Amino acid sequence: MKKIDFHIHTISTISDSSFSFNLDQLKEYIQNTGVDAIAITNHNVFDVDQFRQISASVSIPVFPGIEVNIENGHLLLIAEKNELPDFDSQCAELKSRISNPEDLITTNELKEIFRDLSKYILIPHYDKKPRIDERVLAELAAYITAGEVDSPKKFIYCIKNEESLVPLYFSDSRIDSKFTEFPARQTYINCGKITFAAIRNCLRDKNKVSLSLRDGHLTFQIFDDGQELSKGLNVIVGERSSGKSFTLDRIYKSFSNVKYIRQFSLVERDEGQDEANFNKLLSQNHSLLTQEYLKEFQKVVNDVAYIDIEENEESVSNYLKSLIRHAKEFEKRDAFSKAKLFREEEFQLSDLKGLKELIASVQHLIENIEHRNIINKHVSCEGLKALIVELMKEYQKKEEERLKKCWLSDLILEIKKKLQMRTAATIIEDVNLYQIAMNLEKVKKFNNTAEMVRKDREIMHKDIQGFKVVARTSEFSGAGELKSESKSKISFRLAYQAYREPYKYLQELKSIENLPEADYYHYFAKIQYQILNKDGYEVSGGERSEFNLLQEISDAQRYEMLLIDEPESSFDNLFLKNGVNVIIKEISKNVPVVLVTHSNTVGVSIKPDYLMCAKKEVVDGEIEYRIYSGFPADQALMSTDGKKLRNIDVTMDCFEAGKQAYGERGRVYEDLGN
Amino acid sequence: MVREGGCMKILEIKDSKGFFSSDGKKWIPIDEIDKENLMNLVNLVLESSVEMDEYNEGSIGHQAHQIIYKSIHGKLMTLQGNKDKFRDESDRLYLESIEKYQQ
Repeated sequence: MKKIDFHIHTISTISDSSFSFNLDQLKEYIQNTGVDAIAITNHNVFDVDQFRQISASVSIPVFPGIEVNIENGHLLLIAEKNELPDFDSQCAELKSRISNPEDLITTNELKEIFRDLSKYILIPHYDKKPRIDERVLAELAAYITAGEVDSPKKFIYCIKNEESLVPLYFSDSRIDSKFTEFPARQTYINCGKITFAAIRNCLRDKNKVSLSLRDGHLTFQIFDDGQELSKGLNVIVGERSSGKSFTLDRIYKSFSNVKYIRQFSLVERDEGQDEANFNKLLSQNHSLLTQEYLKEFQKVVNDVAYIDIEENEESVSNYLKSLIRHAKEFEKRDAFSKAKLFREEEFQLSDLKGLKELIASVQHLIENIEHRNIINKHVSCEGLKALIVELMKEYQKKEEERLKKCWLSDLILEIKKKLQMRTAATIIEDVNLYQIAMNLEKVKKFNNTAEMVRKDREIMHKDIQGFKVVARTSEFSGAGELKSESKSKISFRLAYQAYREPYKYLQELKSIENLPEADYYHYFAKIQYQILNKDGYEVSGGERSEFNLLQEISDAQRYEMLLIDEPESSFDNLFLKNGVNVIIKEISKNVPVVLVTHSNTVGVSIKPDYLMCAKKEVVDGEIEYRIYSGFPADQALMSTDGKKLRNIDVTMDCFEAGKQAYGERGRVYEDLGN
Repeated sequence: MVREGGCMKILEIKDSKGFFSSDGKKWIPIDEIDKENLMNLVNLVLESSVEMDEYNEGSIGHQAHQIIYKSIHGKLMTLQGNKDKFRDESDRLYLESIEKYQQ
């Protein structure tokens, strides 16, 4: 097996934050991590002199490469060493086309610059940002060797998934003088002598790549000293101050996107404050549900917010006043006001929305495939087609009518305006009675809907890990609650006085300065979330912590790794066994989990995939920290420097307080049983 | 006056003058109509079956009544012509919302 890192940066380009290459650090990286081959892959640039210098200075094969901005992603392109002169000039051409970090080349340009792509190793960012999209992958499919991923979790996923490319995991490091913490991000390949062709063959075969030297896809390396972890569930045990939490912290720093549940982090300290925070968190977590529940009401509020009933009444009043006044002003009648068009009203234009929707519905009936049989049973397709034709004709007719009326209305309006300018007679103000009646109808329905929305009732309940999350709607009980809802200092005192009359209340909300219009619908119904325990009662402080822990663990699916430090410090054994263990075990099928524990309920019952024992040892008066690790069935746990510990001793010491205590406990239980 | 079949008359021409009624019994001269009266007539047109005397220039001698009657009659007739559309639109109004929250 050979270890390779084909993604290394040695030149600070426009796509990097500034750094200065340090050859000594590169040598140390090679030595410490034991890599057998590297490739130099800078962003859109290749420096042949630097490459030659590196090649001559290190003891392992170095391959020339480049990281190309292609379409929306990045692509590693690695060449054979004997192609160096050609590769250098091709890279110079590429460099001339990229002068800003946002610049990129297309797949055609890539082919144009590098010509025969089959000569290279092509490794796109596959499950790593910036990711190459499906289209580009398809266009380059014939030339792509493997795909780069950015976590062991993704590596394992690609190995399992038949459709995925061969995954590769590289350091993507910038080698400068500050590069002292060496990442364990390399890939092992099952390759004999290191040649370009041999490596390329390995990279095309999932069976020939792995994250671990010995255990194939079961483990992966986490530290540069060779320490490995299982891709599944790892348990770290050890006495106090033996370096368990230190190890977790180190893992946390070595990887990105890691979920870390620290010791005691979920335990309540101030019951009142913690309960409030818990409820807030619960509401935030379910804000999507709140939004979903109020979605339809939001549309109603947005529509009604623009209706001004007072203005409507005023327009009716103005119409009547002007009409009556005009009718009674005989003395002011002149040639202009006597003209029939002076009093002519504009046409009420229909919007044909209903007819349009009807046509769309019939169209839907004609085109629906899923329920074709049922539709055909009741209505014939010919009948529906005849119907749609007639409706369309009707639409055409009405639309024609509407356009004519529209034209006439414009004309009447223009003439009226001219006549009005020349007369002293009162001008009759127009009113749209249909629109006014419709607005009143809208307000009436809005009032009813608002009443329904705030009715006290359960709108959702779902079971989550033995708890029940319940959402309820109710009325806001005062201006204070509205203020909390707004998460601002806005006063709702005046508005709340109208809370019982939804339309009036909406007008009051509109008059509040700085209250976003898009949020009005939030202030009609209070939505609260509650967590109930398995007996249906509101949860206690302890149960809240349990729920939090389970939620935090479940949330880990989104992360690359989950670290948990001594959950037993805060929870009882039954909960750990029935709740936590079950979920952790499940999560570890997809996400590597590292659990630090002293508890046999957790450590032994959970049946880990990998066991690690942290030890503080005094050797010749010096303190040495060491990790012994291995599979649970291994007789001995090994440290990376070759020392051994008997597995049974570790298990007995850490979980049972030693063999003697274990025996005594057994006798106590036996006596109790008798 | 409520006609057979529940049809109520709301606009009438009598003695060369125009009148309106919100109950079919009490008739008020058209030039005394106010906004509440007009809104009542709007509701009657949309919610029940109503009848209105056709406007005819020769039938109303009173010039002021002529202008007011013609305008209001025209508006109410337009509304009556759109009654089905109004009902359709009203029935569909906020339907999704009502169905969701009334459960």
